[in-house]
Amino acid sequence: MGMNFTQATWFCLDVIILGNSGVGKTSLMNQFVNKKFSSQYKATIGADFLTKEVIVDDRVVTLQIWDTAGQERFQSLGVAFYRGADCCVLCYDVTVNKTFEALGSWRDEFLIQASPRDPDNFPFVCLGNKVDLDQRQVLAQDAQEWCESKNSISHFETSAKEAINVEKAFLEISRAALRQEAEDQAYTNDYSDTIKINSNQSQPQQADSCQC
Amino acid sequence: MLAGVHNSDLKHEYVSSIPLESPYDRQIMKDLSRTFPEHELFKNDAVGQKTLFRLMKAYALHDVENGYCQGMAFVAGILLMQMPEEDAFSVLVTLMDTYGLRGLFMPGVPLVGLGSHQFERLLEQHLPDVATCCKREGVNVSMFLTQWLMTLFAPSLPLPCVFHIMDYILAVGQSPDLYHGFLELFFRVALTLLRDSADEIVALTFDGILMHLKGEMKGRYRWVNTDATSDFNSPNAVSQTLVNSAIGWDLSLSTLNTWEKQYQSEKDLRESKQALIDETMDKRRILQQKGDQLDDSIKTLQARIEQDASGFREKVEKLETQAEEYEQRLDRLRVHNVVLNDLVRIHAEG
Repeated sequence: MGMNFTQATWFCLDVIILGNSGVGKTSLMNQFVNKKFSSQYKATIGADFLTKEVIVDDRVVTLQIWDTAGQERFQSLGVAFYRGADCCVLCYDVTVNKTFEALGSWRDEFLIQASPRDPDNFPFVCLGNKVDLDQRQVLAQDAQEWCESKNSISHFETSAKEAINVEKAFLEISRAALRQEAEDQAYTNDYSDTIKINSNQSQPQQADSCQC
Repeated sequence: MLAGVHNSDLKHEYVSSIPLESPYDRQIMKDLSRTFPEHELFKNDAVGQKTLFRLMKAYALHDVENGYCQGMAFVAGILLMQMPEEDAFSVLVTLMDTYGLRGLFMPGVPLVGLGSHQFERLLEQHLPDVATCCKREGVNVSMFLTQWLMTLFAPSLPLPCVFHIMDYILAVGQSPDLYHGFLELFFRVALTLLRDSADEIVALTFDGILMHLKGEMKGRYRWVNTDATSDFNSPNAVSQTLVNSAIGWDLSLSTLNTWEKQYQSEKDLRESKQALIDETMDKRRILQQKGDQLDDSIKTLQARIEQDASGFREKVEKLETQAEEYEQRLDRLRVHNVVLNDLVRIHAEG
């Protein structure tokens, strides 16, 4: 997606947040980017996005986070945002079982619409939000097992309200996205004769430039 | 008044829907505190949230196929800030059915896809610099237009402008000369907003453009109220200028219709391609299954052959052992024979 590629060592990574309506996607994104929580967010219509610069393993990385509308009817609009994602965050609300049960279809829908090159190894990160509330319905162990069964998705229990685990989860999200982007670039470099972006030539694995 | 406010059937329908439940009640409830969360009428469990709930529920029951879709609550909210709930229900139904808003919210949200496509072309035609800049920065029209469309600009503009645009739509949006009723009027306002911000947009990059269009631009349309007696929410000079500019665009209905035909045929092509892909994938899956089955039978056969082969090997070994025994016996008989011959010879000599 359109980004300015100024410095050769910058990565711009697209992250997309999916999950049922009201699980806290907007709140998680805002807690991570702006370090604050509000109970006055508007319902997301279509998609919103925020960017943030983070340092992952000594690299400066620009995260472009897409926050999507949770109602099923909006899924047909997804394509523009799904394509080119480097990591997909699946969110549920630990106090509403139904939001956890929906994760499988969110994952499938993403894979169909984004059609990544290697769907089995595309990075997902799963967040169980609202652990600050008492009425838990989804056990951490059940969520963990589901994540294991889907090719070992990383799982975090978070609270956007109390800022629990949000930073940690997004660091993992950034790492996963960075790995994916680097692999994609290595693949692109391997298969294109005309464009060589790397400064240290003949090393197709070291994709060092931002070209999203 | 306008837009079917005096439709007594609809008023009656609204009142009788109040005690009923709809399949969308949970989703509607989730959005109550997330629709105009900063407005007096709706913030912190204010009375407006209950009214909004009744209104959305009544609509979901009225149009079962459409039900409730996020975005509707903003449109309904705009109406509730200006009229009693029964009237708001009649106007909402009329907006949906007669002014064409229904296509925004239906499953598949068809008018959002069409609207984005058409607006992209309109930008190219009327504001080529802005269109080039968006293309260069990778800004897809749908990234900002979806929210503008489905909320009729509610979170993106100050309320007096939102009300004024709603009045403009209600006043003329029924005309048969318009492109999809309200949609043409929407395009006119959206084009005006982009023209007003053109200088900023061409100087910004991807994130800046989206941030501007989704919020920062609001400041430009804020009315600085110098007269303490005038109503803050009523139309003002700024909103009047915005609507006047919108009216001023020269849009060609026939061009829009031609683009729509192209869009539809591209869409049909895409869908038939997708259907073909799906069909191929299905076939591939079936072939894969058959292949797997064949692999299984080959494995079974191989196992059987190996079993048979090892049976044969055992038999051969047994036969070989037998042959060896016979040979040993033969050797012993030969020795026997020599001894017997010797005995016969000795006997004959003696």
